[in-house]
Amino acid sequence: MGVQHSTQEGEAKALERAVQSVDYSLVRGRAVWVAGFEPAGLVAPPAEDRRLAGALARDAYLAARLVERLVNLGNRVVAEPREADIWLLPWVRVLGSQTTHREYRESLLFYYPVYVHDESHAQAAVSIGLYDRGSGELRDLVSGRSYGLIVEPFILDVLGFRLGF
Amino acid sequence: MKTTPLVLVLVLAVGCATKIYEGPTSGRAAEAQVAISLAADSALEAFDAEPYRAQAVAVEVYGLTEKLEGYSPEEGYLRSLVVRKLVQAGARVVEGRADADILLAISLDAAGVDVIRRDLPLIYHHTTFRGLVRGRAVAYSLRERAVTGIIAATGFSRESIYREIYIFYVFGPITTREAVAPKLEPAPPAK
Repeated sequence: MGVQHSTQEGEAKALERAVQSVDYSLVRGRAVWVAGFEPAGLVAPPAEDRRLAGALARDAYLAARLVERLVNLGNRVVAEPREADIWLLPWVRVLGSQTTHREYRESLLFYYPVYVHDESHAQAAVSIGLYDRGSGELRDLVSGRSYGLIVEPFILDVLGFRLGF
Repeated sequence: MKTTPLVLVLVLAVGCATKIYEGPTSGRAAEAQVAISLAADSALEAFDAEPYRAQAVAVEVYGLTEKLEGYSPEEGYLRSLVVRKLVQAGARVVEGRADADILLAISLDAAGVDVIRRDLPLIYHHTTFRGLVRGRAVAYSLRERAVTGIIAATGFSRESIYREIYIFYVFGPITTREAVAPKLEPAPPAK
């Protein structure tokens, strides 16, 4: 509620694209354990560093999105690391946004805002650590950098519409 | 005497209604809570809990906003709405996955409020609190706590508009509230 929803909207869009862009061919059909896919309400940052609160929440969110993707690919997602062929360690490397505001005011109209324009730019990149318990191999599945854009123009400060990319 | 109405209008027109918002120490602004709860209630109206009748269901919410412990207020509110619907439909809601037949995992993409002010100087002013709740609910079948398949997956998205209007900057607030379909649809899920 203290967070702008247009910002969150763009970030979720960018993150979903990042999850989709990862190549999961090495994981397909295997029993996997996904770190962070735990009851989210119990995730708490270590007492010594509460700045991790945001990062933990984002990693847990990424884990939840990743599990849907993996189950769709035919994987079984197990609850315990010892039951898995592969461990996946999702990490949100980049997730952020900025909102820019532009406006044109007309001096002849007492500087009335004739055109106002808000843009929320979000970008995301994820990295998923992969540990194959059988071979002992450790790899990193990396997404491309993806973007989400929400544009809101207002004409005469009254008529508004939204565009999302 | 003819000038009296004009003077009255001028006096009213130079008035100024200023609303003070207290910061996080007093919690979230009431208007923001109204907007977001309205959006959440409306977003989950279409959630069908009937398929979960007589099933043991664990409900988990995954949101992007940071929290120090437990669920954020938005996540907790959304979870309580889902739990209520499940119980009303005759499902058994369990705390952990160990006792559950189904895991209902809700990814909460956005739960927030944008505040927009519009102003026609001296005559009209309104502040709009636009709430949005958007996410995705995925029901997984569980076997010995392992996720083995997807039973159902559905997206939900709803906006709400809570508006306070002032005329001549003095008369008001005239309030309106409504839940509306979002202008932007959610991104398609991973396939």
